Order: sequence, then C-alpha cells, then structure tokens
Amino acid sequence: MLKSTQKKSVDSAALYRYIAVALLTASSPSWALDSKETIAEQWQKTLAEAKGQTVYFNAWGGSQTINDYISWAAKSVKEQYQVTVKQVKITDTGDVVSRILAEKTANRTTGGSVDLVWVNGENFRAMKDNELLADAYTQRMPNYALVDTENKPSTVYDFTTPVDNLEAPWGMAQLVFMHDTEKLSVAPTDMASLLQTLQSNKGRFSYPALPNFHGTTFVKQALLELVDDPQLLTKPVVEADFARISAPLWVYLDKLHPLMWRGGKTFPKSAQQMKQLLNDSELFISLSFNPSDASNAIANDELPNSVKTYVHAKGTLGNTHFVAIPFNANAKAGAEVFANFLMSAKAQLHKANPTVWGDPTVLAMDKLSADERKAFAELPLGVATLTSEQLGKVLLEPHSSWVSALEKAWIARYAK
Amino acid sequence: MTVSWSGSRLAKSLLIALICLVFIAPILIGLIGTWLPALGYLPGLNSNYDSSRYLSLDAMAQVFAHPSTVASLKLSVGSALSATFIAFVLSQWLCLNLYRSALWGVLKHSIAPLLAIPHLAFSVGLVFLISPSGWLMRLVSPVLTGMSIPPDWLIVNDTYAASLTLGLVLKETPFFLLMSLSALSRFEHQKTLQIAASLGYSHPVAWQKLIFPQMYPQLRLPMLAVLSYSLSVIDISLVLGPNAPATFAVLVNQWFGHSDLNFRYLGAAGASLLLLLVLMFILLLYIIEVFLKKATKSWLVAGAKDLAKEVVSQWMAKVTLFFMLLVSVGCMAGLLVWSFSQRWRFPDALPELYSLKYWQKSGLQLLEPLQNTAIIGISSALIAVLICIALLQWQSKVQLGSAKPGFKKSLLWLIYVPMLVPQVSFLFGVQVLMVRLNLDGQLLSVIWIHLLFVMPYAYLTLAQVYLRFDERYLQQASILCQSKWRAFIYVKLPMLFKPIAFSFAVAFAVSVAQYLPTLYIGAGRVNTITLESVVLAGGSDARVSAVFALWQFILPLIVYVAALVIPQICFRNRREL
Repeated sequence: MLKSTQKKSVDSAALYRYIAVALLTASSPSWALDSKETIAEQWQKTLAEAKGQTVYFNAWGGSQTINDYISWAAKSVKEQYQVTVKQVKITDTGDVVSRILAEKTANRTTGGSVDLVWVNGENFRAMKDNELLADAYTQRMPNYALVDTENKPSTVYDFTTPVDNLEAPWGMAQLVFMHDTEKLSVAPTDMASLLQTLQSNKGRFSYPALPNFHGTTFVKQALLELVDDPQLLTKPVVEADFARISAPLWVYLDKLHPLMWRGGKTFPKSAQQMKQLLNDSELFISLSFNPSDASNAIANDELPNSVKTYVHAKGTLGNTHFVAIPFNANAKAGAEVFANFLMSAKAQLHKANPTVWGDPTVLAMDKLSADERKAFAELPLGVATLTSEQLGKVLLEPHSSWVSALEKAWIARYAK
Repeated sequence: MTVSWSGSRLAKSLLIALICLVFIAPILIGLIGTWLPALGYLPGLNSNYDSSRYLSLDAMAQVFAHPSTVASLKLSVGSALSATFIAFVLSQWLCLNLYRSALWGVLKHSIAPLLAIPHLAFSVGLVFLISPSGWLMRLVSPVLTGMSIPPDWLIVNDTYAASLTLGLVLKETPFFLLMSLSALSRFEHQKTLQIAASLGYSHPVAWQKLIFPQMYPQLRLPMLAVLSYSLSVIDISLVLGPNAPATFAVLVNQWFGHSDLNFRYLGAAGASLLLLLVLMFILLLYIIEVFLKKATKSWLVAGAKDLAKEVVSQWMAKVTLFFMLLVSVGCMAGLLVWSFSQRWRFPDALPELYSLKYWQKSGLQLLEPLQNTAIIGISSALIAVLICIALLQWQSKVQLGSAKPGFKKSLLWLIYVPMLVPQVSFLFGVQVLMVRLNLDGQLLSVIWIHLLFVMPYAYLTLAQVYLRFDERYLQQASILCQSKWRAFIYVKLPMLFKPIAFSFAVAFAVSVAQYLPTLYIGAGRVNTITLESVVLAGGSDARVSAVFALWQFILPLIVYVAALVIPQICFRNRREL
C-alpha cells in the first residue's frame, strides 16, 4: 500500500509541475499583450463567472474589529456582485498553508477548501516556494492599477520576496508602540531608552514569544536599531556571519528580559493579549502593527483614553499584508472579485477609518478621483493616532531568511 | 416472540464490522498518514524531494535537536502526570470521606454542572479569576493590598505549568467522581460496608481495603484517558500553560502550523513521539499496578486496624469540595461579569460601564456556529448512545449466558482507542484521508470524527448502570407483552431512561468541546462555537472572549438540565424511576 501511494503522489507532483510550467509559459505572452480593453473584457468574464459563487476567505479571526470589517465587505460584494463570502476564522495562517499542503499531497488540484487567504511574509514565501498559489492574477484586476506600487515598495516585495502578481495588496502596516500616559508620561524613543524606561518601571513591557508574528517583528526592529550596518540585513542571511552580526541583539535582549513582564520568564500570547494587559495596567507599553489600533481600542472602551501611540525616532518596520488565491481554489473568479473589491477606493476608505479598523490604504492618492482623494483626506485622525509625518520613516523588512534564523536563535536562547 | 433481536449472528457481525470501519479505520489510517511524514515521506512538499530522507529517522532526530523539545517534554509529562495523579487521588479521597456525610448528595448533584463547563471556558474563567490583574486581586485592591496597579507575579502561564496543572485537576476531578459513582453502582457497596463495620473495620479502612480495590478496575481506563488527554491537550495549555517553551502538544501543533513547511516533518515526528509517550505510560501504569498489588497484599488482608482520623479528614474533604465548587462558580461568575461589561479596569471590583453590546452582536454572529455545534453534538451523541445500547444489550445477554461471548473484551478495547490515542498523533493523517476521499469540510465527516471521541465517554457513563439492570424485569415483561421488542421499549428503556439521557448529555458535552478534530476535518468550513472561542481566546478582548466562553458553556448546560428534567417529566407517573 505504501508503495502505490508513494508512486502515485510522486507522479502527480511531476504532473503538477508540468502543468504549472505549461501555464506559466502559455499565459505570459497574453499578459504582455493585455490592453485596457482586454483587461475590461476579461474582467467582465470573471464577474459573470463569479456570480453565485461562494468564497471561503481564510483570515485570522482574533480581532472582532477586523471580523466586523470583513462582514461589511462580504455584504457589499454580495449586493454588488452576487458573490457570497464566508470568513473562515483561523488562529494561525500556517494551519491554512498546512491544509492546502494536505490537499496537494492528496492530489486535489481543483475544488480546494480555501478560496482566498490573508497572508504575507514567511507564509507567502512558503506558499510560493511550494507552488501552493494560483497563477499570477492581480494584473487582471481593475483596481490593482490604483495601488501605489511606486512609493510603497512593500506592495511588490513581500518581506523581500517578489510578489509577482501572486497576491493582492490589502493594507499597509507599520510597527507602532502604545503607552499609557497616566502610568508612563514619557515614551521611549529607541531601544536604548526603552531599556532605561523599564529600569524604573520594571515588568511593564513585553513582547509575544517567537514564532509569533509580532514577537518576531519586535526582535527584527531591535536588530535593525542595534546592528552596526543595517544594509547587511537586506541580503540573505549567511550562517557564518549570523552570530557576529546579531551579537548586539542578544546582548540587548539579555539585559531587557529581566526587566520585562514576569521577568521575561513567560511572554504574552499575542499583541492582542498585550492590549488587554495594557488595559489592565499589567503593561504600560504595548505594540501593534496598526497605527490606528489605540484610537480604535479607545473608541470601544478596550483601552483608556490616556493611551497614546509613539514610534522610535529612527523609524519602525513597515510592510504590506495581502490576500492570495491557492492553486486549487474552488471559486477562483469569486475570490478575484472579492480581492478586487478589497482594493477598491470604497473598501480601502472604509477600512482606513479609525472607527472601523484604521488600517492604512495601499492605494496611491494621485491615482484616485478628486472626490475619493478628498474623502481620504477628510478621514478623522483617531485620538491616539499619529499623523503620517509623526509616524516617520518606514523601515523595510530584512531579507525573509532572517526571520527563521532569528527565530531559531531566539528559541535556543529563551525557550529551552 | 421467538425471534432473537440482537443475538442473531448477522446483526452481531454487522455491529463488529461497523465498529471497526467507523472507529478503527480512520485512526489507523490517520496514524499511518502521520507516521509517513515522520519518517520523511511527504510528497506535497516541493522543496524537499530528497529521497534519501524517505524512511529515515531524520525528522525524529530533528525533534530532539530542537532546543525546546526536552524542556517542553518535561513540562508536558510533569503536568500531565501530576494532574492525573492529583485528580485521581483527590476524587477517591473525596468519595471516601464524603460518602457518609450530608454532602454526598451535594457531591452527586454537582458533578453534572461541573462536567458541563467546557475545559476552554473554564480556563478562560480561571485566568480572569486568579491572574495578578484578575477578579480576586480586584476585589481586595487597593483596600487590602494598597495596589493601584497589578503586581508582576508569575501566576498564570508559569514556567512550571502549575496553573495548567491546577486547571486540569479542577476539570478532571469531577470526571473521576462521575466514574467512581458509576463504579460504585456496579457492586453492593452498601452491604459490603455494613458487613465490614460489623467486623470492626472503620469506614476509611473498609473503604480502602474493600471498596476501592473493587472500584479500581472501572477507574483504570478513565485514568489513562485523562493522562492521554492531559498530555495532548492544546486549547487549555494555550490559555493556562507556559509559552517559552510551551507544552509539547502545543509545540507539535506549532510545528504543524509553521510557515516553513519543512517543519511538517518535525510535527509528524513529534506527534508520533507523543503517542509513544502515552503507550509508555500505559505500560508504566501496568507495572506500578502489579507492583502495588504485590506490595499491599498483606496489608489488604491484615484485617481491621484503625489508622485514619476520620473527623478531621471528613472536615477537610468538605472544605475541599466547597473550594472546588467555589472556584468553578467564581470562574463562571467572572465570565458573566466580563461579558456584560463595557469598561473595566484594575483595580475596580466591578465594571465602570456595562453593556449588552457583546451579547447582542454575538447572537447574530453565532447563529451558524451554534446551529452547527448543536447538529454535530446531537447527532454524534445520539448515534453513540444508540450504538452503546446495542453493544450493552448484547453484553448483558453474554452476562446472562444467552449469547456467546465472542470477542467481547477486545471489541470493548477498540471503542476506547480514540480516547487513549492523542488527537494530534493521527489527525494530520485523517485530514489527508478525508481530503483524498473528498469528505473534508462536510458536516457529516465532522459528525463521524466527533463520534469517535464521543463514543467512549457515552459507553463509560452508561455501561455499569446498564449492565446492572435486573433482567428479571425484562423477562417478566416479555411474558406479559408477548414481545421482546415491546418489552424492551416499554419496560427496559424507560427504566434506564435517566442514565441513557445522562450518557447522552456527557457525549454531547464532549462533542461541543472538540477543537482539533473540528478544525482539521471541517477545513474551517464547519464552524462551531469552540472554533470561534479558541480564535478569540487568544486574549484580545476580554468581553468578547467571555461571551464566547459562556456560549460554549450554555449548550452543554441546557442538555445536562434537559437530561435531568425530561426523564422526570416523562415518567411522572412512575415515581420509583
């Protein structure tokens, strides 16, 4: 039995690779020839095909605010395009990647259980490397033309991995910190002053244990600030140099951990839990990838209005989050229609509103109509949100190979 | 009248075939589907076509090379062993000491509601209660503690997994109590105690020497089930357990979900290791049992000698029971207050602002998950109870000698397999199987997989009472009704309706609490209240977590209450039932 399954699967994998190659070579010339007209025509076909489809959108479901936004978007596409969108609320995008992998292992090349997945960074790279994604499609979507690919490089390089039209930009993220001004009036300005602040406020800051996404981000931010030459981080990690380059980070963390929440012996589960801990005054400083997070949380009484947002003086990490269609999606057309809607000015405007979600837009203002530009300009700035000037410089993510190297080293030091 | 309805060979073979197909096949295939990647075979991965890794122990070596593995295993083994041991001893000690006290009734009646509290809801409540910024601290701050900000104490998620152990003990003790009551109902324990007393045995000694040894065979399996569960539990461990490193089951789950797909090999190898651990502990328990039997032999037959200070320990048992109930009520009350709060900061003893918003919102949002949970729970529990009745009916015939034993013993062990095999160690394989058969993401498949886990509990809760049924009633009824079937339906079933309903309620509660099987087999499409709760128990919004945890508690509670009330209403005219 073992022998036959082994043979079958290997054959199918070969077949699959053949199909992938054939698709890639066959369809690339037609993209090159795409004129505006054919994009519009193609899109009409997609819209027609999408009608009546049900799209299973696998998206992290840990935030009620975001879930509410997704419900709103689902309702909109239902009314406008008769596409039904169901959010599959997940705890970890890796589980979804696993499921798609299981489907590939079982030879299911169509009718997959995932139509669209919220993804970026490492998970995107894993899906791309293992050919778990549908062939390039964002160039076919009308609203993709509105994306600010020129000034927002992270919309085309996802943690330095080329996006290659395999995922549609959904929102921008920038690492921000939040502090309760009632408990801590002066916010730190960099990693060194964070350490100093904690010396007189022992136990009032932490970050989620790696491999949590926010935890990894904090460690990368620290590395970027502490390393002698940040330029080194844009290149793939070289094992021989890793110890030397990352040495200042470990020195720093060794000093920081004893001053952290629970003496650095245990860590919060997630950035979301840190928000709760900030509300409980267990922490005075928390972090988020959403610059409007604090304002949003204050608006629904999750945080006191004494909480303010701040960033480090030399800039903080920023990236883009995307939605991607798996290779075997059951409702590809419907997924494209929904992804396209998510990139529309209407959906992006609603999302950027801090009372809704406050997630920054991926669109370029100069590609929008005057009315749309005005609407974006008139968006309220939340009580605790920084202006784009105050948000300062956005630091680009290090090469994605640094993530696993840092994670491995971190776990070997602090989780054994 | 002469047609024997369950004794027929065909029915029996069908039953056996059904059990093998439904219960054993998915687990076996699931295990193989997990062992293959553990041995380096996972054809879906492009990046790893290195055939030299096939059928090698590389993955297992990698598991042990991972820096967290050893510490993580220690935590898992430590918390699982101590939780199982403490909960078991505690339950026996409570039985011994409360048996003759006025609190015996309280104990009996508190088991059902305690069992109805899902593990996850209980752990979320426990965090709300005992964490440094939890309700207890809020009640005494700042008046007694002088604290206006919570202390930085390592209470929950502690590095020794003590809070995880506490949570497990509090949740597993009621289960052991239930199993003990059912074991007691199997023999004439009252008569035994009377005779022992007349021979000069004090109550504790009589219990230890005469009652416990007779109960133990019925408790062995539940003990192994609790041990396996504690070793492989994920949702509670995420809420209460340590995280640097986490317990081994959580670590394995992390590997299965890691963004680097090569970690799937580690995941599969780790999952297989977990199974090995469980098997090792089963063996260990067996050895300990043999040893204890030998060691205590002379003591067991040494006659009456009073050692225990009965009054003191009885008093302590009462306090313990009271404390357990108090913590459980406290957990649920904490959830309730949080669910109605809008703004509640430390050190306010009660929320500053209240709101119905979160309940209202959840009602709309949870319509589908609640419906799914109810359908899956009711169907799997119903099927499980029906199969149990068929099995038990056959067993009671064997007892009476009117049917041949067949391979009864081995068959029964098969039912328990899903309870003893850690879920993570075969679900990955089952997922692949379901995907291959195009059965994933469907309600029916989820019901099927739930049935696996629900069945052993249904059987455990029903078996003793069912087998103790005095068959003379049935014989008498058969003569009067002229039909075995009618006698069975109008006499035996009604007489056993109460335990059957209770067994249904237990099965339902087990189904509601299933997290991993629902996630893996439902492909996320079959959404249940537990999936929603786990997603939100990540800790973001205490108010939302509280509402969801309570919803998770409400369904089993309704069914438990129904299981107690409906038999009373139906059989008002037969008071002796």
